[in-house]
Parts: sequence; structure tokens; C-alpha cells
Amino acid sequence: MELMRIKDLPITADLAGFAAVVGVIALGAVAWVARGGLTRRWEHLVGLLGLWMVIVGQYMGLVSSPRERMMGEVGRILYVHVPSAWLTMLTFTFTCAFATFFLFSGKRHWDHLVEATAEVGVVLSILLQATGMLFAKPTWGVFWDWDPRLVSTTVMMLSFMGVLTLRGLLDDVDRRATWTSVGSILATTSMIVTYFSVRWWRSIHQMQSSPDTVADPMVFVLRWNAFAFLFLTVWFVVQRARLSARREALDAPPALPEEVPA
Amino acid sequence: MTPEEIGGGVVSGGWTYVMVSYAATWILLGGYAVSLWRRHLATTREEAQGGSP
Repeated sequence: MELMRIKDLPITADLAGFAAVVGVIALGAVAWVARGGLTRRWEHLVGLLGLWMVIVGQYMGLVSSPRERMMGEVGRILYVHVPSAWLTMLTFTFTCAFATFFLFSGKRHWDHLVEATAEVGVVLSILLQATGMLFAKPTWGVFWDWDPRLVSTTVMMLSFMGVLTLRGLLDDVDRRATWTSVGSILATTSMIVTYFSVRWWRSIHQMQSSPDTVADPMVFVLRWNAFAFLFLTVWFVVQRARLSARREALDAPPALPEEVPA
Repeated sequence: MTPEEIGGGVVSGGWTYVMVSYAATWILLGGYAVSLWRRHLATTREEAQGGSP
């Protein structure tokens, strides 16, 4: 069995540009789907596709992918840890974008998407933390260390949890939406710190990898799992945004009767 | 695993951590899907009753 090794190389401008384009397309796609661009049947097909891809991706991660050269079998945790990290960052980026759109337009559907992406992002960040700790124990010898990457990831998760808690405390719909958006944009700063923490400070966590720094069989399984998580995330966000819209309509006070002319 | 790999510092074993990680993925994502489904059901019930109690 061929053995692999992951090296650290800086992200190139080409890769950053490619990631930006993919991110903008994905952002538009999520907004389009969440605003009813697909019928329910197609929405659920996206979710089922994600589920099927997760099942196949986990089989590949556990069985068919090669053993990592230095981390041995433990390296298989990569296939759930890395996609959860990518999707956490992507989802919180969407939260910031939708929050900005809401503050400029005042349209309610952006607020529903802010709530949906923040909540789904928190779920993914919990998974990120859990798999990260399980990865750390056999490779670093500890579940937790006061390392810049670990601390900043925790701060990011707690920041968005705080935004959702704040949202739950406010009854007025307009104030709730505005404060959630402002809080989300502020919380996004913690995400930026998390991303750059491995470059700004000395960290035991490795720097970001790129396809050039990972062996091809591992890149394929990583990409497969990333797309599996992406489809599931889109399905989660769409369902959560719809729930948010339904709750808002349900909790809205009844309309006042029209003035009857004397 | 060969003695050379062990001597070279390669992490040995660790299947328990791998399996717990994959199980945690299913529990978290599955649990969130169930939570969404239950909240949609509760909202449907409330809508049928004509609003919040």
C-alpha cells in the first residue's frame, strides 16, 4: 500500500482567486435555492445526494483510501475533520454576506438566511471541534491545548452561539433582525482570525494545505467528502431558512382591522 | 506496521478515534436533521391550530 505525506505550502494567488469565484457562485446558489429557485422535490434530491455522497465518502475514508504516511490510520479522520472545517468557514462567510444584504435591503428573506446559516455553521463547528479533539489525542498526545488555532476556533464558535442567543432574547422582529446581522458581521472577524491564526502565530496545527501538497488519492476523497458536506449543508440551510420564515409568519401579531368609514 | 515505521514516529493504532469521529459525524448531522424535522412538524401543528398558543 502506498504511503502518503501531507506537506505545508502557502496558498497561491491562483488558488485564492479560484476559491473566491467558487464561493461567490455557491453564495448565489444557496440564496437562489433558499428563495424558492427549486421545487421541494429538487431540494430534497440535493439533500439525498448529500446523504448518499456522505455514505460513499465515509466508506472511501475508512476502507479504500491509503494510510497516511506519518499519522497512520488516524489520518482517516481528515476526511470528516477537513470538510467540516471548510464548510464551517463557508457557512459563516455566507452568514456575513446575508447579514450585509439584510442591512442594505431590509428584506426579510436575508434575515431568515442569516439565522439559518449561523445555526448550521454552529452545528458544523461543533463537529469540527469534536473531530479535531479526537484527531489531536493520538497525534499530539492531548485532546486540547491552548493553541492559537484551537482557541480562535472556539472563540468563533462561541461568537456565533452568542449571536443566536442574542436573537432568541429579542422579541421585536425588526430589532432582532438588525442586531443579528450586526452581531454576525462582528462575529465574522473571529472567523478571519481563525483562518489566519496558523500564519500569524506559532501553532502546533498545520498550515492550510492545497491540492498540490496532498497526494492525489487523498485529494479525491477529501473533495468527495467536501461536496457531500456541501450538499447536506445547502439542504440544512434551505430547510432552516424556511422554518424561520414559517415561525415569523406564525408569531406575527394579527393585522389590525381596516378603518371603517363613518 | 513495520518496525521502521514505528521507529520513525508513525502513529500506530488509533482506529477507536477514527470510528468515534465518524460516529460523531453521523450523530451530529443526523441529530440536527431530526431536530429540523421535529421543528417543522411542530410549526405545522401550530399553523393548523391557527397560531401560537
